[in-house]
Amino acid sequence: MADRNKEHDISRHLLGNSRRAFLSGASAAVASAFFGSIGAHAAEGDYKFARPTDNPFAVVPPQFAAKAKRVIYMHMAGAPSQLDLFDYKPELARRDGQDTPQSFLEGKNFAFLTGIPKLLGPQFPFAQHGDSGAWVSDRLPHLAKHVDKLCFIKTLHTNQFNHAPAQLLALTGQSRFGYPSVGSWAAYGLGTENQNLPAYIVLLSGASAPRGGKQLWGSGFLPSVYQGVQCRSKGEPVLYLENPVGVSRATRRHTLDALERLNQRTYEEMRDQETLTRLSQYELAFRMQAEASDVFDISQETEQMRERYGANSAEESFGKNCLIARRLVERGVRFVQLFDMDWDSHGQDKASSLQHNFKDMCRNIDQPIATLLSDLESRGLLEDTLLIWGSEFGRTPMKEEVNDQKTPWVGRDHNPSAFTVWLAGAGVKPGYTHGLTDEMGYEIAEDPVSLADFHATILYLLGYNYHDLSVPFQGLEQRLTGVHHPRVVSQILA
Amino acid sequence: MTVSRQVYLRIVAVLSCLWLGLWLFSQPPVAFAALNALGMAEDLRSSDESFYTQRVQPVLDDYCTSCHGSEKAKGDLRLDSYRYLIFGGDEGEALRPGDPDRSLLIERMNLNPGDIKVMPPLGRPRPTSKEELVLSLWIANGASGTADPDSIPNAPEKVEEVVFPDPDWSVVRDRRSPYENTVGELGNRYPSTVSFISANTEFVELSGISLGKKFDNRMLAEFAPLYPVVRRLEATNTGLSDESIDSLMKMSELRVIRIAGTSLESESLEKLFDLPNIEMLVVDQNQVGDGFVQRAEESNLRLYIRE
Amino acid sequence: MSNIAQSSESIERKALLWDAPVRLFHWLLALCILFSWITANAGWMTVHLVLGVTVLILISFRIVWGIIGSSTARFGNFLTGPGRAVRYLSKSLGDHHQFHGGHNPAGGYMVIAMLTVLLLQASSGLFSNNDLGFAGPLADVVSKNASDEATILHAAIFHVLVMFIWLHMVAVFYYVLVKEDDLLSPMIKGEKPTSQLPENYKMTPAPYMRATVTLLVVAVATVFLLFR
Repeated sequence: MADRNKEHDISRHLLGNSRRAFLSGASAAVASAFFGSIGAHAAEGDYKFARPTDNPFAVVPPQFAAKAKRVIYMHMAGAPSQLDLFDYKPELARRDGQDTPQSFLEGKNFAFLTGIPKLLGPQFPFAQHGDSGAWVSDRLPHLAKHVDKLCFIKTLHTNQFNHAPAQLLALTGQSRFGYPSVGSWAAYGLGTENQNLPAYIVLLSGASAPRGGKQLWGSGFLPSVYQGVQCRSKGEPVLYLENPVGVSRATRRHTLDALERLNQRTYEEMRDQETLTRLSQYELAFRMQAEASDVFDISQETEQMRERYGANSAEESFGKNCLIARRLVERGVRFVQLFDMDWDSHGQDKASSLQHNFKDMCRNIDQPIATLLSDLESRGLLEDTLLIWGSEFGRTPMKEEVNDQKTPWVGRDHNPSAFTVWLAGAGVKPGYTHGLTDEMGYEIAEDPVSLADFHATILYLLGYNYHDLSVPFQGLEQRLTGVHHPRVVSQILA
Repeated sequence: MTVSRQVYLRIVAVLSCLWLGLWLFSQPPVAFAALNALGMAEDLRSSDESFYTQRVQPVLDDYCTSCHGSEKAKGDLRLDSYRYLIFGGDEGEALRPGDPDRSLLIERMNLNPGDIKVMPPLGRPRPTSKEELVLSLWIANGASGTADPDSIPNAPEKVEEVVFPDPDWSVVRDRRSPYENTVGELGNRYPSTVSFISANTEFVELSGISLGKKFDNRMLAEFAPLYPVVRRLEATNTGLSDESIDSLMKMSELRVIRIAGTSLESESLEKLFDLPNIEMLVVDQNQVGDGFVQRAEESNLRLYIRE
Repeated sequence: MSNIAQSSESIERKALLWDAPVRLFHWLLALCILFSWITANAGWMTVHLVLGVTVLILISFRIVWGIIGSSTARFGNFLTGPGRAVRYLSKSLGDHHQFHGGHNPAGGYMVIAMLTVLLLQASSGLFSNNDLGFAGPLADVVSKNASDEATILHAAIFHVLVMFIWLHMVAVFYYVLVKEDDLLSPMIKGEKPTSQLPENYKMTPAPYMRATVTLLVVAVATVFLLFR
């Protein structure tokens, strides 16, 4: 017993008592083993990515000076119709109700379309906005005021026409499970500035969860410390983060120290890096107890600010998530991933129709995004925060008929051949549109951008050559861009 | 029929020479060199500042020269220089100046994707429609090797490709070495407060984001050896106060300062405008005094004021 | 000699010089080379491949036939020391002429050279690729770089081959036109007037069954080795 106390004292001495000393001491000790196996430092001549060995979340200088230090990535799960929001096609409007040309159907895979569908014109009036003259439909009146800050890519394309694999492809670079998401690569490649918050936070809004599941923010073969931490905008941000009644912070510290020694022993025996992941997650949780509840507490914002974000209700909402996202990036969180669900407007019923659900969805995101843009800008955060708005694919210019039944509801099927995303903020050319779809908005006419190109561009903005941010796994240098030779979309760079 | 030996050998010799000669002259570089030496052909050269060199050759380099180049010349066609492009290959001339649609170079690119003769072959990256347009327009305008880049005004704008920085790492190391130890030591003592802004520079960023109010004047003073290379300072909601202004003023490389939520006041903050490289400043409304905004504008700096 | 005597003698006295397998080999090979050239230029690569493999089979057959075939086909019958070949060649360019019951000493070397070049050409083809989705049956055994090297070699050896064919034809017509020694018709009909053969000429033909079996075995073995 006496021995054990002594050991305890020594370790406390070694670790120090203050949180600050803990940070430098414990995490250094923990993580020096953690990354022992990962790459050597820059060899003579060539850049070689290497994480320092002292802390899995320590800031790593990027390969070259980055424009973007932080990312807010808004993914509209279910795929909003680009043809009813941004990609205005007057020719499609003219041919509304006509039979789809045979050439549109040959050799194509559709999720639902059968027979010869009818063309469906834009469902909402469009107008040009701002100095850039970008076309936006009347569904996004607030965002339309900010088009001069946005950089549209109208020619993203994918090879997946179902939600789950397409979401995986858009967010991890592969349509299969088991690959790190963009956010994980960012956390892995850059670490994070705020050691009291996760590097990569995920917030969900909407009734369902994305089809791709938690793999969409998974870390794949990267150590699991780099996976996204899913937080909630209602109640406790992270479940069971707070100490239970009767447990003090000191007691918690004590427990964690004991746990750490046990885990450390296990690690020395088994050498499983996941033991260290678990260890550092406990420590992060401990540090988060103080800061997370603070950063998620939007009551600290003025009533007016919450109103502008549409974040006054107690319920979880996309607007609330936008406000939290701003608070997170302001505190140095590296990557914030927002998912907004239920954009899948097939028109099979009222709840999936462009006339109803789609309108509501647009209303839910319009003002929050507009506010996020202006709020980030006024705080000087738009200079080094990259904003991305996108989805997993686009929608067809053809109307989807359900079993030839005549219903009053209107919707569109999935279109992997072309869809619109926009970026804003750090390093991105504002008020610019890249790429052109054909006159029906069905296929790409000019400047196609693959998801690998898109990912390479994001990594470039974060200060990396996609090729050099790699990890050896299963006999292959694994990259976000896979084995492709993507092109950084230089046209959209500021 | 008997032929005398001499006659036979002469016939053979003549035929051999004729054949060899024909073969040699079917080699465009040889034929051209001969004609050129006789003054019957003008030099084939492209200038560095020509539409060809700036716009056409890069496209050929991207999509063609791996098979039609100096190492491999499929169909005896080389597209790695203006000279060879003009020479053409086994199947004749690649270009018909003025008539892109009947130029073999373009014809082959316009074949159906499944055609055995389509170029680039099925499965290889194809030039984009804009790149094809550049080639066509160049041929339509006479396929000159020297014409000015602006000579074809309706050509699509040139896309500047991203070049990833690839510095001389030994130079980077030398530049960093005076600071490397300090960054390491202070980084250990106060985790996540200091880091190089990128792997290829000696410049650093100081951040009090993790430590909050603990990041104070005294702590900042410990970073004194790094003052000359501080590019960015993330000091929002830290414990810095007016006392630190002299330290900040020593950061001659400082470009970005976020200092809202601190006790620094307008009078001190105004001094920051005199920093030689200052580009951006974020402060709170209550840190801003009279004339502050105007002075910021005069200093040509991007000022953000949090409400 | 009177004309009548000569003509009656030539009708009666002919002897077999080249057996059918050798003649067939010769003309098939010539056809294969011609069509290989045509198909390579036209891009009919599958036909080119078939022709190339046929050339390989023919050459393999000829090598075996050079050991177990009719006496005039055997290497032992026409391979001589290089000195003798050179001496023969220099004498031939003069007025001297001597009939041979088979390949003459220089011609023997021509046969070996031609077989070697063709063997090199056909086997380099096996490793070649055309960068258009067509590759020889063994191209995947080696690296792409090595295959590219083989392709370059394949194109280069073609020029050597053309040179050899030219040399071969110049020589044959030298005999036919200058020396009045008709080498052509024996290669077609197989027989040569005994008056144009050495006095002690004696030909030991091998049974054609042996040739058929040899060809079959060689063909099956080649195809099996290449495409298993």
